[in-house]
Amino acid sequence: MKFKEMSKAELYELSKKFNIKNRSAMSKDELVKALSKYEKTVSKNDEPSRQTVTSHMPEQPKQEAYVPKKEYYVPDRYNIDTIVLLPVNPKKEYVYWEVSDKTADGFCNKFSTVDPVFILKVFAGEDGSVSELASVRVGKYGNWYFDLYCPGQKLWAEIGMLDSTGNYHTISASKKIMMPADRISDLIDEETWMTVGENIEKIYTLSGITDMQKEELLSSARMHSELFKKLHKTEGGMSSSTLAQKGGE
Amino acid sequence: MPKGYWMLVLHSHLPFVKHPEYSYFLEEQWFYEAISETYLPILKYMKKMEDEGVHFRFAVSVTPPLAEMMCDPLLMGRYEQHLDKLIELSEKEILRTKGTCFEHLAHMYKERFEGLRDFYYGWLNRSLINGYKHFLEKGYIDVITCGFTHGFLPLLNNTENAVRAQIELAVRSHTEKFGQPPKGIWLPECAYFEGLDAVLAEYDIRYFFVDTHGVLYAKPRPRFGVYAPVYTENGVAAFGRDYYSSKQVWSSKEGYPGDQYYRDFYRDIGYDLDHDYIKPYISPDGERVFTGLKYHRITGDTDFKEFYQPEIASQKTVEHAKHFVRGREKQAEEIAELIDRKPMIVSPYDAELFGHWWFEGPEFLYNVFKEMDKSDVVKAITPLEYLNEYPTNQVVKVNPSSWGDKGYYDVWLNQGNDWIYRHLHFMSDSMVNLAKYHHNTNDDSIRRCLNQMARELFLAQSSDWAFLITTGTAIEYAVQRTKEHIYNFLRLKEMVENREFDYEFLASVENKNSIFQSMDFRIYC
Repeated sequence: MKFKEMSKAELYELSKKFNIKNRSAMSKDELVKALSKYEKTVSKNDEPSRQTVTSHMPEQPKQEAYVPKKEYYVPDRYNIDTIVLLPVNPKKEYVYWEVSDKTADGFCNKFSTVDPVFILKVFAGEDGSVSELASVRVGKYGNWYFDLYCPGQKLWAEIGMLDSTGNYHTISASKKIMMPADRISDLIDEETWMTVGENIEKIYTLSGITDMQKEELLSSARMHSELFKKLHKTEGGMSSSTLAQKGGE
Repeated sequence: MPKGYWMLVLHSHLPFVKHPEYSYFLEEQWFYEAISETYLPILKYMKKMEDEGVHFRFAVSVTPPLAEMMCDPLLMGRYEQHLDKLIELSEKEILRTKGTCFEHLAHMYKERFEGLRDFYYGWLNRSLINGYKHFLEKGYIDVITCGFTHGFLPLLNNTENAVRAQIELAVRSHTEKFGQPPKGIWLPECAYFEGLDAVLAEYDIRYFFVDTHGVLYAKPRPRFGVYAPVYTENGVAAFGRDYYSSKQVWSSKEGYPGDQYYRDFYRDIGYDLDHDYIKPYISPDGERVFTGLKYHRITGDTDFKEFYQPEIASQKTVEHAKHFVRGREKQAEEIAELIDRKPMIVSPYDAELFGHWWFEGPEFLYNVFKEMDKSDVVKAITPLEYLNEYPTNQVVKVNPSSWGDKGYYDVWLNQGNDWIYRHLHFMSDSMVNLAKYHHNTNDDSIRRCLNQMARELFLAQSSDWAFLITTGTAIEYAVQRTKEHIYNFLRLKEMVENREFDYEFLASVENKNSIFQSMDFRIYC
């Protein structure tokens, strides 16, 4: 993180974060100076880069780094039986679950278990051809990221318990979710062959199928400075001479 | 006869931010800035094009929270004061900069703000909605809706009623504001999941938009790529984003807004000038903020910034507009050779890009339409016009996707914000159960509480909070807002369940989180 490369407005916003006194009266150089001792502590999060999404999660919900002004109490669980699977992308799924005290106790009584073992499973497929993709030992409630590559498949998750003899019993199952695809479909309908035929490859090229892999586009600007900063930090931007040279596209 | 069509889509959205408990609130400024910088200038250019007889067609979303804010007397009253202060500041600036190279810029701002004021009090008659309605009724634009509070629908889908409620209330709110039900929708964050089309069809929504890979990766293969809409199994049309026209605006390497002659976003007198001088125009607690008066141009990747020259920047918008139109012509000609219909090129952008971020953006759009009006090759079109010309389209399964970073749901679901969903799902399940149970209630307190619970749930669902947490801007505010709505919801739920009402609390949240006065909790039944 280099403070000298930042605008005064950005430095000022940073000084707000570190609660630098008298910041509103400071010049840019003074802000750099006042912030210098924090230069190393300014983490990735403060930088204009996107947060990378990493894999497995601890079971406890994450603590927020920032303490809200007024503390609104929010429970970390609701003491219900639930499990939800949400797709993140074609290669990643997020699951959260919870087993209520009542259900857990009832299970322990029924199977005379003192120390219940909870198992989280993920399945794929449709009726008739179901396959188990993952099975992990977990706590009574929590969340988990899976890295299952299942484009275009239906997935769901289950939370269950093991009895004293090691048999698995389902407690709840999530909805079935269609995972997104990450490539062109192999399926081509007949009319497509009759109308565009072999031209479909060219149409896809003109639709950007190869170029869009090379440079990903920023999409949503909203009131979001980082994205725009990226635009401004180009080397001199585009001049009219480059426009003339490049012509149409 | 044109060879193809160009379809501009502007997505106008801000989260519902209203803080009657403070006379000044930083995040409320987002709205005031966007009015002066984006919504008013775009409406003004539309009027200009109408007056000049320039052919223009596009689709614009005005999301329900934004439309609500545009009709909120408190917020609009504050906006009017905000505009007066801007004019006052620009007058002071004329005196301060006398004899310097900035003097004509101070004059520019004064004229600009006064022009906005005249347009707002004059032709618009103090209603932004009036402006959109006028052009909608003329058929120049399609005004489309969005999820009621911009909820990220694929991640709310655990309770089907949660998705349905986002759509149903959006349609109701839109009809109330614009006098007719929406024909199209901008899905929040362009986020689609399999099955969503059934809900859209239920509410007579005829089309929506997805990112390029939403159409390209559809099943079976879409035979015209992104150059024609596809139908879902429920007969709703999906338009896919064109990669190349987006790139010309958004590319960090060659995007137009990065031109060195365009106005620099960061050099703002709110940060640059002497604190005592600028104090009346920044946050009352003395914190520096953007004022909107900026005197420098991008210049280049240096610390040193040249002063802004509006005439040159204006000329640039003409050059860029010509370049943009030539690009679309070339594209249309190339693709028209390969398919047996006129292709359409869909260019969706956040409206706030034009004007707020890219100061010259509205003028660029004006010049694009002017230039396109002269073209024999491409013509601007609205989605409905295109669907009327080509009512038959291939039926496919649209690929689940979004227009966020990496193209799927990562931005709204990651380790920083995943904690939100457990609450949202619990809340919507509880909402459905309580709504069914109290469906026929005559008890006014229960009815009020349930209506307010619906508002709190809707506001918590806004995808903006998860977005702001991921991008690292306004994290504290986003976390705070999410927790506030969860907390309010749970407290109201307890009141309903125990029949013990804290009327003071109820009244305060009704006043603050007041979105959609005619809320009816029974939409969750």
